Order: sequence, then C-alpha cells, then structure tokens
Amino acid sequence: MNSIIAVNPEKCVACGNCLASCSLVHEGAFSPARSRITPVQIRKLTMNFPTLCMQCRDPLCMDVCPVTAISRNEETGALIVNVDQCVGCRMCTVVCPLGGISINYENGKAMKCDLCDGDPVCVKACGYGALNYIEAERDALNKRLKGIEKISKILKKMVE
Amino acid sequence: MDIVVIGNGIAGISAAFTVRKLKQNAKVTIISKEPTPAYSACILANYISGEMERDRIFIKSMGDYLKENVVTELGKEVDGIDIDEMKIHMSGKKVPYDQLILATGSLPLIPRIEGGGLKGVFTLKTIEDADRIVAHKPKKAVVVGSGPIGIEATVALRRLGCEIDLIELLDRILPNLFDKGPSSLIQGMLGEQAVGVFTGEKILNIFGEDRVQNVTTDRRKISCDTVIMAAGMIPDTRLAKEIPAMEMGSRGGIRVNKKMKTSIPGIFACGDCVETEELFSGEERLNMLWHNAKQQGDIAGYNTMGVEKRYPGSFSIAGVDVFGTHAVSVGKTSSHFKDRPYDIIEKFTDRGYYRIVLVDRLFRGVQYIGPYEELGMVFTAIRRKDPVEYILGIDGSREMLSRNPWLYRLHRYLG
Repeated sequence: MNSIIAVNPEKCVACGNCLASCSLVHEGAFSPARSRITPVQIRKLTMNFPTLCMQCRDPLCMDVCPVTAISRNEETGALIVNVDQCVGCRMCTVVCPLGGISINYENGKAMKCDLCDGDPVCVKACGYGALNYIEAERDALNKRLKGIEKISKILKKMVE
Repeated sequence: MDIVVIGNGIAGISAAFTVRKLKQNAKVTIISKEPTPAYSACILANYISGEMERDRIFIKSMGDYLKENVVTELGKEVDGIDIDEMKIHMSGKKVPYDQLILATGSLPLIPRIEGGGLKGVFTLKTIEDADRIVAHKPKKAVVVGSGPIGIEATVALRRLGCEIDLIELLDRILPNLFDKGPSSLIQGMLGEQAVGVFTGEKILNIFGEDRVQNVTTDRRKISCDTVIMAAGMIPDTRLAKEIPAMEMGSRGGIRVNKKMKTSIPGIFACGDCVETEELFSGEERLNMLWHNAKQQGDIAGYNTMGVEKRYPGSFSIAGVDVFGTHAVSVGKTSSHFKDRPYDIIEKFTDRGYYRIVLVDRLFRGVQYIGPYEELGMVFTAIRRKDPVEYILGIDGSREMLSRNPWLYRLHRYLG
C-alpha cells in the first residue's frame, strides 16, 4: 500500500497555492511551470482538476526509462526520479496516462511528485480541502489477515 | 532451486532480480558473453558524443549483484544447452539449472558486402563497439541505415565534428517510425547540421587496403575513414535453434506464450530474442525495445517462481534526439495501413508538430516532433481503443469530464 495524495476536484478553485508551494519547495521559486502538481482547467465548465502522479503500483514510466532513473521510495511508496541519472529522453512523458510526469524546462530532466518525503506541502497549502494526504498504513494488510485468521479458526471449529 | 539466466541486458537482469525479490534462497546465476556489469544500450550514443561519462552508462554495479546474491559468470560463452540433463555447457563447465531463462538479445544485421571486415567498420550495439568507435576518432563517416541507431550514431559523431553521410535504402529516413512528411522535417534538421542524407540508395561495397577508404553505393562513391553499420537487428537465437524441440516464431524469434514459456518445459525466454503478441494489433512479432524487454523479463522471473503473471503484450514507442530536438513515434505510422483507409490529424503548434493516425476511427499511432510532454493522453486512447468520436464528444460534457478529466487534454490534440 502506497501513501497517496487524494484529490477532490469539486473543491478546487484553481487558486494556484499548490503550484506555488510545490515549486517553492522543489525549485526555490514560485514557478508554476515547475510545479509537480498542475490543475487541468476547463474554464467554460468551471471545472478544475489538480493533476499529479498517482504513484502507480505498476508504473509504466519506470518500465520505459532507458537509464533506470525512476525508483520506488520504500518508506512512502513514492516513485522518485534520480535527476543525475535522468538523460531527459522524455519517454516517461509518453506513457503516463495522467500527465503526472513532465519535464523541468530548467534542466530538461523529468520531474514528478515525490510526496515531499511523506509531508506534502501542497496538501498543507490548499485552503479549500481539495487535497488530502492518505498515509500508507503499513500494517493494514497484516491487521486484516490477523482478523481473518481468528474468524477462520472459529468457523473451522463450528464446522467440525 | 537453481535459476540460470543467459544474458545480462535489461531482460536478463529484470528476470534475475525479480526472482531474487520473490525468493531469497534460490540460487540465481546470470551468464553473459560480455565482461561488464549491465548497462543501457540506449545511451551508448551519448557516451560516444562525449555528452556523458562512460561510467554513467552502467545500470548495475558489481556490488549490486553481490548485494542481491546474484551469481555472475561474465565474459563466458555458452556452448550449448543439454535439456535432458538440464545443464548449460559453458567454457568447459557444466552449470545445472531447474529453470532456465533465455535473454540472449539481438545482433546487428550486417549486409553481405565486400570490405565489411576492414578496420574502421563498426556496428553500434555493445559497449565494446562504442569504445572502439571512440578510440578510432572518426573524421569522415558513412552511416548505413537510418533507423534510431543510425540516427543516434549520426548525431553523436556529428557532435564530435565528424563529417557524416547517411545512406538509407528506403525512400525516407526513420522509415519504420515516421511517415514521409515528419521524416522530411527530421531530415531537414540533419541537413542544417551539414549531414549528407541519401535515401533510396543501396550500399554496394566498402573499399580500402588495410582500413576503410571509401564506400560505393548504387549512385556514388564516398570517401571516408569510418563505416557504421546500422542496418537493423536480428534476434540472437543461436542457442535456442540448436534445441530441436524449441518452437520458433515466423519472424525468427523464440516463440513464447503469455507467461514467457517456450515450448520446452522449464525454459523461459524474454527480450529482443522473443516473439510476442503486440498489445493493440494482436500480431505475433518481434518488438525489440527496452520497455518490452524489461516487462517480459519481469514476467519471466515471476513465472519461474510459480507466480502466474501474464504479459499483456508489447507496444512500440521509440524516440530520437536530433541535435536537441526530440522526436517520438508511438504505435503505427500510416504506411503500416497502405491497404486500408486511414485518417490523419496533423498540426503545427508553437510547441512542435504532431500527426495522429486513425484507422476505423480508432487511435493507432502518433508521431511528434518537438518538446512533447503530455503524449500519455494519446497513448492511453490507443490502449483503451477509444473511438475519436467519443473524445470529440466530451467537449462541454460535464458528466464525461468528471469521470475522466484527463480526456480534456486529449481533446486538445483533436481541436
């Protein structure tokens, strides 16, 4: 189970706080073009959709990278681009179904949401509740399995 | 449990390290005729041009193999496979296996012409090839073949100040990736850097005393000190073909099913050496690209350990960097549909140029020249087999967009 930033598009007003905070933290400047989260704005329907990497379980970006520059952070489950390894070939941007990975115009390398190492700034910056950080409960699966174990033992006894 | 992998490319290491991830106490061995740890063949050109240090090409260090307890037999040729005794014959040794994964890759296709063995004639497949080209210091090169490898070699050598003439048999460069229009745009970029391009031309022979001095085509003679043979790749199936029961595909690759199993129990195969079903067309074919090899290697690894993952199919995405301009081709070009009606959506934008190929109103391919960034939308439409009418219909549909907001980005390509 990965941690994830859950998006509620109904609440997004495209204020741009997420763009500003993300680029500030990652690039040291308010630079919306260098934010890892971007809103798809459909003005005539007044719909806004913050778009970012969903940290896929079977990431296509990792499969197409010809220099193995994308790897998984085992703690947060985030997919991380190794900027020194990246050669800027853009193959990752061809396969991402969400547009969650893009190119940093400053250095020509791939950039994407890295969940800010477990404490995402965009979530804190959003004043409208459109972004929520859901942490991976590492033990969730084990807890469920333990619960099932108990019940199955009881059921077994009942059947016998 | 002995797992042996023959081949240390992306398919081989994906298989080997997937096995290790699943099972800590299996013995995993990689045998490779090359002496180095695994590297990316895709970026050899960046090393040749001097843009990248040689040690950045490697994607594994010897330490990575040791850390994961993957035994390596590097620089060792496999002489044969004994399927009855389940042993690999390797340099006088016999290596036993319980499960075998063939990841033997591909070899450059070398046209049978005179002078092919002269000093100064190279292929560009391995790091050894790249080292030899760098050491040779080409001043005037002829590149035979204008597929991605030929183009990358051309750009890399031109960056070093080498004079280049590019010979292509078909009527346009990058013939498998681009239609004539976009191909001409790319040819123009080569021309801007004083690269000579000769299409519809065939190389006849290479002349020289002890080294390359000139090349003759069916139209001209070109003096040069270097020839790069980039005329295509063929699957390396020498070991597989020696096994009578090994089923081969119609295109020369090893036939495998969706679990990467060959016709021989206990033997799997993955990467450039196999034929698989293509994701969108269902055609069984070779699809010798990095991501296909990696995915197939993972699937082979899973299946050797009894985890029955199935390979969904191969897909084609290939790009080149032409002196800083990126160009990519996804899926099929229109020339693939010569006998069927197809539609083109073509646009020049301030970002670049793109051409979408539609057949039966379905997205079948896209070619993009320029700094693309959101082609995933088109790729997804190809995968999902969304008819173009469906996408056109989203404009103004709040209901459709709230179900799949990213369709809006795809809609802009059609607009």
